[in-house]
Amino acid sequence: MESGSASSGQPAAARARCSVCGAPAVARVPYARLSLCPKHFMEFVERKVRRVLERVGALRPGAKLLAAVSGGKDSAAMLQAVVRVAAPRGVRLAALHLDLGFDGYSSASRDAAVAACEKLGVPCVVVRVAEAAGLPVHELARRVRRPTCSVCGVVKRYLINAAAVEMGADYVLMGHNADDIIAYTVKEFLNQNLEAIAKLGPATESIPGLAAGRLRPLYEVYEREALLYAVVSGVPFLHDECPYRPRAPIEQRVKEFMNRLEEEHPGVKIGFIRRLEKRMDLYRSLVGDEKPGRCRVCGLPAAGEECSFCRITRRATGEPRGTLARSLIRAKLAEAGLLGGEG
Amino acid sequence: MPPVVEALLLPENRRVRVELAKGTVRELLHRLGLSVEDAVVLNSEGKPLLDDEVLRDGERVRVLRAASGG
Repeated sequence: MESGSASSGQPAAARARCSVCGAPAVARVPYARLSLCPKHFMEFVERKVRRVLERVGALRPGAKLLAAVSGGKDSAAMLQAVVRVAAPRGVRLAALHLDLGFDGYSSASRDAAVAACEKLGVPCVVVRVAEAAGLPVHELARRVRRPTCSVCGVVKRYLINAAAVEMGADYVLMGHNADDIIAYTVKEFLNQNLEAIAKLGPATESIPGLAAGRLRPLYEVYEREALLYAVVSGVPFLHDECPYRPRAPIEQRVKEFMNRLEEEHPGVKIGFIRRLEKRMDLYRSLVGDEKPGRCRVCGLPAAGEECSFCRITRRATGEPRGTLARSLIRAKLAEAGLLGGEG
Repeated sequence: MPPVVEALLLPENRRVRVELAKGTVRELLHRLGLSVEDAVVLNSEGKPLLDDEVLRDGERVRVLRAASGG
């Protein structure tokens, strides 16, 4: 029962036209009172991405950016937008994909991430968690008796930061969109963990040799916009869910609520995210000046004597794997010509 | 006769038939328990549809939920 003739999807009245050029529209942006064709929708999203990158000086010639790419729609959209925004400015961009070891899901994610990088001409380094940490994420979690998502977060943050430090990247690019940030903020607010909100701005600061700053190019881009951008740009991505995703995470419920609110009150989300950014100094003032120490094993940031990655891998495999993981990453970056001053 | 459309929900990969009154994309999403902000709807050619576009009886669409992923 294939339809999809030229008349498919015809509106009751005239087909909506792009507010900029008059071509058939594929996107409606109620909070900006715009209908947009593919070209002008992409430019609309890219303007938001450019603003975030410009504000932190990430568009200067010679800046080195490492994009964390999962293979999903957010990181695919981010990579596509950053390539279009940053490449003409002489920014050096590379990508890192972490293969979490979740059988079919991880191999499909890896294939999508690699395909996106190949299409966009971005050098991509793939690191297998099972190789770096000694075991795939779910097996590490089982052995240390912690939720898979919690261990996954520790492992991903560690390996991404390690790669950025070894590469000498100015920033790691994360695919968090506006809806993610709003959901994290509400969750932290519900827990009255206000200090944690200080980390939810568009960028975090670098600590040279220890921690690369994290930058969120999709900070002002709605989740639906990121998906639509990925679709209309044609960048490859995997539209699937992690097999270890919790059934009803709080973040998901917050997103659903905010989306209903946005439909009835267009602009409520963009207003929130912009005001949140302006209030970041307030949340930062709640955080002490204490800088993280160095892990006695691997030398990367640690709250105590040992970083979470070394502690988890020591408990799960019998040896702390931070130093090994850093060596593995260094070798892979060197192989790709991305080590230190090479890239 | 009210239009009946066949929607493939992704990433769940679940196929449902939905009877609509007005037949708009917005109505389809609401009938699926989603808001307009929750998903992107594509026609069978892969073209994104606007929320007020009217679906025809028998039309097949793909509903990509935005909040999905790792």
